[in-house]
Amino acid sequence: MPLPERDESEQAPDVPGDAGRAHWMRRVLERAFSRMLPAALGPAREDLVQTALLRVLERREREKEPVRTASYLWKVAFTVTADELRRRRRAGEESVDDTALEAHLHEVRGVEGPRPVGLGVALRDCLQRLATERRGAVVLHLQGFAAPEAARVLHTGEKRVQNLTYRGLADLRNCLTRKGLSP
Amino acid sequence: MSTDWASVFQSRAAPHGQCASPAEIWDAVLGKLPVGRTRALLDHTVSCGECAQLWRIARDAQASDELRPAVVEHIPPWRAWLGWGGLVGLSAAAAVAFLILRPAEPSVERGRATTGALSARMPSTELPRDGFRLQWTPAGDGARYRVLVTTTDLTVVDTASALSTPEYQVPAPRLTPFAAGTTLLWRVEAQLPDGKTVSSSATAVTLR
Repeated sequence: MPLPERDESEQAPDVPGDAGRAHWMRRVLERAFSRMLPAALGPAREDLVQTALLRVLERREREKEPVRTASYLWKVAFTVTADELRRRRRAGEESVDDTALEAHLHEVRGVEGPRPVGLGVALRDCLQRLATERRGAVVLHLQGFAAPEAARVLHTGEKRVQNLTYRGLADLRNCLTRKGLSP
Repeated sequence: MSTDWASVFQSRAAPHGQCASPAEIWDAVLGKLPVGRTRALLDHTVSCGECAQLWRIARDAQASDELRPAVVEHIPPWRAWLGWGGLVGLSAAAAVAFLILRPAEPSVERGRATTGALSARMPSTELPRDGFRLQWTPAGDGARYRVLVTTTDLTVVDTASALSTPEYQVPAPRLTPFAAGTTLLWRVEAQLPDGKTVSSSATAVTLR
């Protein structure tokens, strides 16, 4: 079930003129980038803030509608961050940071330790063989989504997400075992 | 732990042509996409480390205090019909429906594959006011460009659209109000023949 965006407490201040609004937008964007920028993009933060401000301004010029909500600005900050990451990836300047996923490996294998040969391919294959609903829950779990967050994304209840994740991880282990990759 | 999850959530062989726009990923994490589309995006992350990373960034950002929405319990449909519990369920559903059906803000660049693929191609970071020519990498045949030039406090200096070549000279009269040494920002966006849009980052240029 989608949740309403929380805009009300972070609306644009009722300040006359563009300067006050621009100042508010910059503050919100700076907070957003501080929160979401990967370390590798840290030095580019100020440039990215400027890029985001220009995007907002372009939209305002195009649609003649002032920006009123912080959630809109956070979304712009995310799109600017994503575009920059993709640009750097394509230019070969940056690799994907997958370290956050590593913490969950032991849940799949049931044991910590070095990765057996072929585990990556096998895991991808096993993930793709999972039932659709279970796969969604397991992928979110492996990405670090807590049950309430996954429930929101998948438009279902928290208990159901926990159940799908539990069963999905069990299926994953069984699949790996059949491939000879049990702990 | 030495496991290389990059090979699981593969990135090198990622089918980038199928990557969702950042705006769509953001909406999916917010729970605003239909569940079928969300599942398709999640399936894609299994073979695309880049998109998987964006999901994590969106999740972390949306978990911040500034954006975190109030938690609303999911009410299974069957519970709504259990006597007084049904009334409670219906009330909750109505409240949730009210919240959901409120007019939402317009989305940002929904469905557009902006990739930040354009980049400035400037011989110098300083330009004279009678030769304030902005240049960038071409986006391909048939692309149409739109340029926006502003001051650092976002006052619009000049705009141009429907440009067919990857350059634009700002007319000198537009620069008259600004003293030498003023820093101006510019950005270009290209509309491609297939409807997609690519854009550049903001570039700073000093007026000489």
